[in-house]
Amino acid sequence: MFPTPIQHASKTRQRLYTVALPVVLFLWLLPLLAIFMTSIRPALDINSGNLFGWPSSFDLIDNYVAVFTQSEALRYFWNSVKVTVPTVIISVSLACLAGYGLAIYRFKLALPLFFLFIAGNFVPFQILMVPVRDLSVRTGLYDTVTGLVLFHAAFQTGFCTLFMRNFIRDLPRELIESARIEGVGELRIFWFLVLPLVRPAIAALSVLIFTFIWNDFFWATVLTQGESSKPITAGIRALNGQFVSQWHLVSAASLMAAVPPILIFFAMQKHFIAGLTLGATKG
Amino acid sequence: MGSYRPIIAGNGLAIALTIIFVLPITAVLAYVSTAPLDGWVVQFGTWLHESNGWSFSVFDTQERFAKIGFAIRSIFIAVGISFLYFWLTNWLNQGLARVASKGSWGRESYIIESIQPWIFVGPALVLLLLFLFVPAFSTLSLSFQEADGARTLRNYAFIWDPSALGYTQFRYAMRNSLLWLVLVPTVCISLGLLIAVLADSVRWGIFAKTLIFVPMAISFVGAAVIWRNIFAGGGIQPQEAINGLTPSYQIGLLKMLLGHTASYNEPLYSLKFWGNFFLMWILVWVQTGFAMVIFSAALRGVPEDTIEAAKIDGANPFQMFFRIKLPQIYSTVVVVWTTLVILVLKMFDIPYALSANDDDKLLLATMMENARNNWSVGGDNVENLFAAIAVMLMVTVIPNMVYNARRIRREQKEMGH
Repeated sequence: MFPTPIQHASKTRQRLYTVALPVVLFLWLLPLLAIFMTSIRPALDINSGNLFGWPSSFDLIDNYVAVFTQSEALRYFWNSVKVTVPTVIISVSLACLAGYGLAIYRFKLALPLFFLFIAGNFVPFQILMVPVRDLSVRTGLYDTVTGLVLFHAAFQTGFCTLFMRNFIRDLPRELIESARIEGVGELRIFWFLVLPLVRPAIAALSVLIFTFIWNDFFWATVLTQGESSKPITAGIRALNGQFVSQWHLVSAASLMAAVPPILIFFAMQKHFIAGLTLGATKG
Repeated sequence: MGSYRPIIAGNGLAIALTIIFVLPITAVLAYVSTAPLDGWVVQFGTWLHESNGWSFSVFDTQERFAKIGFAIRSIFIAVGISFLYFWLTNWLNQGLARVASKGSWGRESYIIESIQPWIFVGPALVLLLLFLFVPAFSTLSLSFQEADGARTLRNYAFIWDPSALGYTQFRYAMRNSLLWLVLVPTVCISLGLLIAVLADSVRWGIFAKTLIFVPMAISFVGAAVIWRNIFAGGGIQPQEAINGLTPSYQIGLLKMLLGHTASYNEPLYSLKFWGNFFLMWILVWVQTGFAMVIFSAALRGVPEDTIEAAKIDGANPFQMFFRIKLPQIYSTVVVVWTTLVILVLKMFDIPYALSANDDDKLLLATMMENARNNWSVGGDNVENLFAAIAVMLMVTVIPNMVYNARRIRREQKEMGH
């Protein structure tokens, strides 16, 4: 068996491991810990320079409540939900369909089309910025949640489609062939045979896309302006300006923004990692 | 079966046209005909408002419930339209094929199966073309235009000509992008490999890996703010009281350890040249987890017998890693590397969120933002200059894209597709 279990290694190496690994882990998570500590401090601590010592009092609830009452954070948060959830649904369903179309049918354009989707995955968003903003202004979608959903969904189709296509491609073809011979309609094959089989891929993809969209900053800054549609990532930057000398509140706000993706990650860790592995190694 | 091509094309065109006409009209009709529902929802809201004695004004309640009503209607209509799309395309496809095939079952199913994939791919393809490829090409054409639309190469001259304003910035952006491109993926991959190997040999390795992976779920902006807590500070405004607050002496953890006092308030990531490395570290912190997870999976896939054989031959752990395992997961390393390269080229959030956008810290992507804010020279063609930089960015991505396309093609062939 390899890697060698640490129990078989020499005593010094064992000790090195048991000490070094926790230290590295601690250092790795230190910034998170530090920001959490800052977020529960009273303003007094920060102004008197007690930033990393023991807090003089624990203001966890006060600070987090202050973020939501003194700023638009709650609205940003809700906007993020309104943008992310529909985007995930739209892009994943479209990808299931397109992935099925590209994986199962043998037609001449299947591979060129697939490469089109891959190319879409590679395009740096910056190159789309000016035309997309103009387009959104012209169609009245600028600074609206609907606009963000629509554009996000469009930009994610490349990745989602190649993800689903690769997964569906690996399903046993005989299953689908035999269903066809039995005379089952194409739509019914897709709905009753393929969809249940690709459920793990759907879960993995949804988790990934949720994180991508929730954490998106570029389109959030390009396509929004006011408070009414700004998601939390763009909101954090706005809060940075608003709470310029109140690090405890900025810290609390940015931690709050990270909570949903981290929760999702822990709840669906297996799917998340499976998704990353599948998405990266296959396309 | 080439003779079917006109039939297939004709049927396909008929289906596409029907969809283009029928779906929007149905959607509009659905919205108009269900409009009264909003009124009911608003009435319900008003009733709730009155019976619960909510403190804010009735108008707010009504507005909110009108929005809720609209959202609910939209969901139902969207679902309905999707079902209509499939039902209609399916019905048309079968019907038209039956008519054209003149009773031959084989021909009928051939025609149906030729059109069917397009029905599945169609919606995604339309979105992709409309919102990705059309804008990309219009940026390309913008980059060769003056503000008034006349053809020109001046936008490119602006970044390539040493006497032009954009030249210095572009040089800096190229230098920094190159630095990022080399360092970030290298460090991420090395750290990721190291952790994957080390963590696999302790009992609580999975737990350790989970913790290393956590930053991956945090947004770049969030990570930037988190690290600002470590790198920045020294009193953002130590000199003056803001809104009657006492002067604050916030100081980042690392700055404190380095012995910087509150009066020295330059964040570490603003240092000339060296600041770049602090910015890079933030990205490394976020992305190492990604590399680690992929490598960890790949390492587990290394065949046991090669490892056993190496062990019998007396390979030490270093030889085991560099001679046996690394060569076998080499293709995975390449994939992770390309993924990270693309990510670095697009990198924009971290410097932007930390306002680290002086010339010395520019990346190609942040330079564009700079261009938008600061360059109003040379007529009013900022957008065109902007487009030119975007095209340069795209050019740097293309080799990577081609390389990957070829790799995927090769893999497809090997898999026999």
